[in-house]
Amino acid sequence: MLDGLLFPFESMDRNILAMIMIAVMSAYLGVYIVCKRIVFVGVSLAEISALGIGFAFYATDWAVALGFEPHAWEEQAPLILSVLFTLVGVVLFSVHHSGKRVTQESLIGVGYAIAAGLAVLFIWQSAEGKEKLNHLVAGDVILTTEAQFIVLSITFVVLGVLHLLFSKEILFSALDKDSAQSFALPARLFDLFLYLSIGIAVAVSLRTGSILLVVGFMIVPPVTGLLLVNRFGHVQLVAIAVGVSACVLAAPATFYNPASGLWYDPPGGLPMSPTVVAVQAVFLVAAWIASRWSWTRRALLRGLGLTTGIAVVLCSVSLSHLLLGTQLVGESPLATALDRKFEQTEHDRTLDHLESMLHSSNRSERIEAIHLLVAWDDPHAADLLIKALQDEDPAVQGETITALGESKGSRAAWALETYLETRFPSADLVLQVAEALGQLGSPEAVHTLIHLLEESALPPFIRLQATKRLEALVGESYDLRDEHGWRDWWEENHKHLRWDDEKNRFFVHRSGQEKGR
Amino acid sequence: MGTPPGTPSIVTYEDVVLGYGEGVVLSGVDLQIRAGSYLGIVGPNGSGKTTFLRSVLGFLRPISGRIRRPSGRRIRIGYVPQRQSLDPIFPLRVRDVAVMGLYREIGFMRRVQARHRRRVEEALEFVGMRELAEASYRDLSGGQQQRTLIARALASEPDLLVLDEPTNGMDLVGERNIMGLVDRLHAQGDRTVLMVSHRLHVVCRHVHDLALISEGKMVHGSMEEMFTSERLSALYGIPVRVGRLEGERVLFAESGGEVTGR
Repeated sequence: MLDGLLFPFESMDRNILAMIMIAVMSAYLGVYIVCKRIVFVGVSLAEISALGIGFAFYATDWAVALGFEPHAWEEQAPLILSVLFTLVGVVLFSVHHSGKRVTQESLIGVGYAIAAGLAVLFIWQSAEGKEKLNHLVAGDVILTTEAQFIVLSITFVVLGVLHLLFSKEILFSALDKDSAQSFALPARLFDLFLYLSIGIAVAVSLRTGSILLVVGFMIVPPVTGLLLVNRFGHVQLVAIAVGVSACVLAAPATFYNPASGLWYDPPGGLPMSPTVVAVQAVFLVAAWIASRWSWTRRALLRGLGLTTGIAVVLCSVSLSHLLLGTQLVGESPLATALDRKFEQTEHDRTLDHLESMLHSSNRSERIEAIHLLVAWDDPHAADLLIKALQDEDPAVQGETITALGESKGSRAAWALETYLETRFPSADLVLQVAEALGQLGSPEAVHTLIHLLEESALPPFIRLQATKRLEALVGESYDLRDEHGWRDWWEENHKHLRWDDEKNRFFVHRSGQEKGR
Repeated sequence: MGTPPGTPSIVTYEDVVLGYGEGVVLSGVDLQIRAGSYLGIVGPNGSGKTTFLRSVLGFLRPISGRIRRPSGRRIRIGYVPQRQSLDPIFPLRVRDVAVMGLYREIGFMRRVQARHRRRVEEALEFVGMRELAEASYRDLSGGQQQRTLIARALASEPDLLVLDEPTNGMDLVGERNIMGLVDRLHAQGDRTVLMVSHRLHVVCRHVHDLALISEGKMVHGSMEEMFTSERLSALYGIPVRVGRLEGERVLFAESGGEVTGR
């Protein structure tokens, strides 16, 4: 029963929980943002927070380049700098600017544009910049680390409790600061606390989610709430319900791969942040329609209640899983899918790194990459090795040839044969190719060596090596001066050559008999 | 009829200079806001009314001079801002807005209790908004919004009710109703009322004392002392005539008069 109810989220892990927490906090604060007409401030703070993260990435790379050991602080630096930058932004935006030439709004716009631009530049310059940028702008919560999750949880719990305790004072100060102050409330303090809450929530959320995700949660659900209900607290509840429902409804679309037609195939699924925003947009349109016909309004509110209820159950299950370390229900397809996506991302990073090493100007680094690719038992590694055959340096080519032989990849023999046909390598490289082809069990190894022996200008020591290799490969022996011996043998037997894994050589197989033993 | 001289003062200004940073907006302010008085603060736009108001509310410290309040207890101020200062996008009921006047008394981390609700209901009843207590503040007319804000101030049972441009942007009917309500507020319970406005022709018919602000200075006195052609002509820089029509004070600017000093 529970399995059926929770399908497809039989047991969420911290990624989905993190997204729901971001949804709750952002939607809650978003009602203030929308009502105070400071949407642009919220968006700008998100960009400033991103700038902090980008700067941390860039500074970390520099520190490493200068010889510092980064492990102690590389995890914390983006969060710390993101919070610091955001707090500076909060202070700058909360100071009223009374200039006659430049408006407060335009200054916030300048802050937004500069922060967005610099954030992109910093992140672009950092290691794995494109991937980080993609994650920050439109990514998902798929890579929430345990540390990030803990920071997110603690921060949101503390903010949530403070907001609950001082909700009426914060609302009064947000609505009418001067009046609240005249009624002897520390309105400026509460107003500053609201701005700080927004800044901190944005900064912490951005370490897990993307700008699009956080800004989307801050704006679309509150506007939806304002269309549907007429009381501040109710608007906050509806906004939270819309945010949470968007998570619940968008997550399956993220894990459905239309290409394969499979669920839980993350690499092919839709990007999470845009999908969440798209679902929110559907709610917004529905709310706009519902604001005109009361019966649709009731239906929509009931639907929201239902999806939020499901989310609460999911969160409870997930939380119990995280806290107790046990799964209340069976193996989770979603968790498996998330694991797969995590592995996939790690895998892609490794691949990108090795590919960048292959393009290094340093020969040793290129050769090192080839060794790593051989050690890495992965189909994509073989593709990179094949690409490495295009290297101009014969030493690298030689290493690649040997590596391809060791890789036992299905396309390695084809690649080596193509290499011989297109690159016309030197005799010693041809010998290496033959050796590799032999390792791959390709009869073309034999043919390559025979072809090599037919070269008239072949140096004697190469000819000798080729002959010995041929003898080792097929168990036959011909006089070095017999120019036609190997060719005749090849014509006679090549269609019947088979590889013997145990003896590591070819044998001639003809209807039950073997030749060459 | 001004406030009797022997009445105790709840706020006293002694040679006060007000302004922002180095910039002086008002100087030489000597004023006593006496208990039970009905005081209008009037001046042209940009004359310094808001600066004075902020000092009354305690938002602005004087550059020099002294603002004294009675020792021993805190003066409770019921502030009624211009209704435009509340953004109607906030989804609040009339009752939600009115109860805010009691937040300080309710205290931090505490919920609104039945006795607080009763006081809000009484305040809404007084301003004639009880029937609309569940209505959305944003759906109200300008006059109803102003009444709601007055109820919020009343709920706090203030010693001093401060109204900032209470009839701003209202039509004749709305203006008459609101000013009638303010008159009742002053008459019942003998509340101290301070009203800031640039609409002298409205204020002059209701307040008992008047403070005129112009060119960085404040002069004040009873209506009889202040409501003269000489003073008002000097205030506005144009010839102003004053008189009475069916017992009500009226004023008008003479047509064709020469503008002086402004």
